[in-house]
Amino acid sequence: MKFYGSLLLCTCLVVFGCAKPEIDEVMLATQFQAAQQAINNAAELEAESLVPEEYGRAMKLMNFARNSQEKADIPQSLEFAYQAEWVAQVAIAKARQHHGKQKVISIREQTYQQIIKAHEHELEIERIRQAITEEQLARALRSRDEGQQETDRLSTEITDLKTKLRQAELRAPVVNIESLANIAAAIYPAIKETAAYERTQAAIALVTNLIVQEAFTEAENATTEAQTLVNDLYQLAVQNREAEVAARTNAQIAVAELEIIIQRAQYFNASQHAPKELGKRPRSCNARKVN
Amino acid sequence: MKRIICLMTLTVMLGCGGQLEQLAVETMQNAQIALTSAGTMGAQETATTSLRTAQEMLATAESAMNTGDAEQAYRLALRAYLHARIATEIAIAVREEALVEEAQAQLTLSEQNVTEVLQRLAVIKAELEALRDD
Repeated sequence: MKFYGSLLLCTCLVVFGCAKPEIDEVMLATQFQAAQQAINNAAELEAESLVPEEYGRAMKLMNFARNSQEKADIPQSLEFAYQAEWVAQVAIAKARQHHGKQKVISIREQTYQQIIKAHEHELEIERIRQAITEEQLARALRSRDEGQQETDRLSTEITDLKTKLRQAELRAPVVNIESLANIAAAIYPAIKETAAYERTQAAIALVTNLIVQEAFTEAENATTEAQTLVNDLYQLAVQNREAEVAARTNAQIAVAELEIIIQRAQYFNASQHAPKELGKRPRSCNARKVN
Repeated sequence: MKRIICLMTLTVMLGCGGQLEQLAVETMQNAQIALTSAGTMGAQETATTSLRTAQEMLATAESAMNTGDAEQAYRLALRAYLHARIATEIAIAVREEALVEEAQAQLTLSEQNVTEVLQRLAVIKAELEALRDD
């Protein structure tokens, strides 16, 4: 009996030794309030739907705490209340994480939309820039065409001027040749009836035609030949003219001599006084007959 | 009979005590792991109070364990574990919120970029119209 009494005493000691110290009701109420506040905060952050595991565990711990309180197990109730608060804190932190992640997703979505919008605008800018470049290119091409046309026109004009200049250069000696031929004709008009004059005129006509046909090399050669012909023609005209002048001079001298004789005859008026002188033929009369 | 009852009582007491010690040790280990995890997540900067509380509680639990109070060690280790978890989750939440700020900054930059592009678009549109009117 004594043994059983000692055993009961040991058991009681163990049980009461393990038992928790008494907890003030105020502390428990305070802890309940703190735990409930934490759960409420978690609920405000939508922890029930976002982190149902932690939120449910906090609620369960809170219920355990209440049950323990009802059973007057204050220490256990306090312990459960503590755990409920801390699990609720975990739920709050996890709910914050969810909200953060959702915000990041939402913000990134907006960012991508902004990036897409910016790219679309950039694309439009490039399209407009291309349109501007095309317009400028078209204008430059039009300008270049106009410039090319002007260049072509000026080139043609220059070519024409060069041709005309060359023709003028070649016409100058032809004019000289014509003038010389005319001078020759003027000096001795009868030369127009000669073959030399005909050849000269033909040569001049040939040169003129060649100049018109822009056969300048041939025209130069023909000009040289025409020059030779006209020189000869001029020489011939000069010679003929000199001969004609000489003959005429001789004739005039003879006439003058005759007139002198006649005057002398008249002056003496004496056929009788000078019959021999009247019957005499002067040398100049004979020369005239020859011509 | 007396011997049997003594043995049973001793077995129950020792058995209960052994399980409690085991539980306390495991809980302390879990708390240590949770503390390490919180440190890895940068809780030193973002959840200082919770982390320090967890460290202190774990140290107290170890002291209790050394003095042979396994139950007290268990209870303190459990609290240390919960506080370390809170520190970890707070650190992760702060990190997520920092990401929100970062994303918000990027969004602001993108909006500014859109505004700038729109201005350039308006300028080049005017340039094109002027060219066409020319």
